[in-house]
Amino acid sequence: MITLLEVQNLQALSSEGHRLSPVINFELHEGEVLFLRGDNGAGKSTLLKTLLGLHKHYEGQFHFSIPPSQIEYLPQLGNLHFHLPLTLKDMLPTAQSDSPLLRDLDLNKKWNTASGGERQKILLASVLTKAPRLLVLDEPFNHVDKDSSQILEDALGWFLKTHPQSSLMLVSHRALIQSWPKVRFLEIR
Amino acid sequence: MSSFFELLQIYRWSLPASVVMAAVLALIGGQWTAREKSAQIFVLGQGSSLGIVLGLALNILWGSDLHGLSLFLGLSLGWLTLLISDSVIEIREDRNHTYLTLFVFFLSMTYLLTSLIPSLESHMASSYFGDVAVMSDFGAQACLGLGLLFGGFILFYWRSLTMISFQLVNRSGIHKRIENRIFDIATLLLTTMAIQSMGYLYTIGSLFIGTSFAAHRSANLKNYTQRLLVIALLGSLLGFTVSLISTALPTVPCILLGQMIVGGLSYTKK
Repeated sequence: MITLLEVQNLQALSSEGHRLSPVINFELHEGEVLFLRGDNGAGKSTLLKTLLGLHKHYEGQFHFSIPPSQIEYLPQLGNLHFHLPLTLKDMLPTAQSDSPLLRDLDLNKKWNTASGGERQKILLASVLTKAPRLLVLDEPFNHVDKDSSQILEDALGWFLKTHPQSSLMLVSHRALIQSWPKVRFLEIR
Repeated sequence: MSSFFELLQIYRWSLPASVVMAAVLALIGGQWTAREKSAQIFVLGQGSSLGIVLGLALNILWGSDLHGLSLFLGLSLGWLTLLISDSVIEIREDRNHTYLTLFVFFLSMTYLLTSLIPSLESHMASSYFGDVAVMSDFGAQACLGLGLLFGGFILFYWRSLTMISFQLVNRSGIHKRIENRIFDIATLLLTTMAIQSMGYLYTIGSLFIGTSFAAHRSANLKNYTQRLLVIALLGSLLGFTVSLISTALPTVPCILLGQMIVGGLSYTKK
């Protein structure tokens, strides 16, 4: 089994050197789902950003065995207002009306007026078309209603099933409804 | 009428250069505004202006006529401004007043230089307010050539650059993209060249007027891009022509007012 990511004694720090997370150790293999769990403020998102190079201050080591181009990341969905008038269709790399994520979506709706569920579906549909080896998701079910959460989870399950070499690393407070194979939990506390 | 065509013959390079440059600056301004970095570009322009004036000052002091020196110093200070703002200021949450402080610093230094070398005063005025009509043929040809080159590049990668802008503002950009690096270089180069040849007012106006009007009421990205280009191209052409016909009206305010008028008129069409 190929190891995609190896993390040793990793701890996120602030620019002043204060600890922002506990020390963590883990390996992520292909086909696995790694669930990062913990209380608010435990440092889950900061650890993800550290691994992705978006947070620069840390101690410890980590190593990806895949090139950065095979990694995709969706951050926490804030209330982002974008200056350019993008429609949901503009956000998609290619026309892909067959994705179940896009079913019942009005693709001519503007990003700035779309709901949390619509935004998350379009972003997830966009990254899944790239078939990443590692997909990193930070709170993908936040600001998303129950039905949309189910659709997102189904889409992720379908992606993992059809791409057995891909792995998923996610932070979420929501328990999975489906039983996915090879799910591991990492408690951040 | 024949005198008008004679005037057009005189401005055969400066007219297309100013129109094309306005369109390319509008495209650049649209992306930087989307990245929430308009204040950074505003200060970048002022940094480049200081470099250009410094080059003029050195030419006066040395008794030389090195046109490339102003461009080189403008690019260098512009690059330094980008470097400082990306590595020090952009990581701070409260960055707007820091940009204003940097702007005031560059403005003070420019004024100081002008006070020390009084013969710079006329250059300082042209560096700020500009006059497209007195642009040299060489300056106009360089602006036109590079404007067309980078304008074509930006339009070809427009969608990709837009998604990079989205990821940057969403703090989710984890991939370094070559087209974005070229876009940064194009911003620095074209902004500095525009300030040197057409002035700070023309450059900053062309960067932000188009997107301020086009971002509203556009149905999608394609519609926005079309509006942006129409505002910049048609507005600049209108303003330049009015300035030529009147002979008393300066070019830069006419071009910028032309862009605003076309921007306002674009609201009447759905």
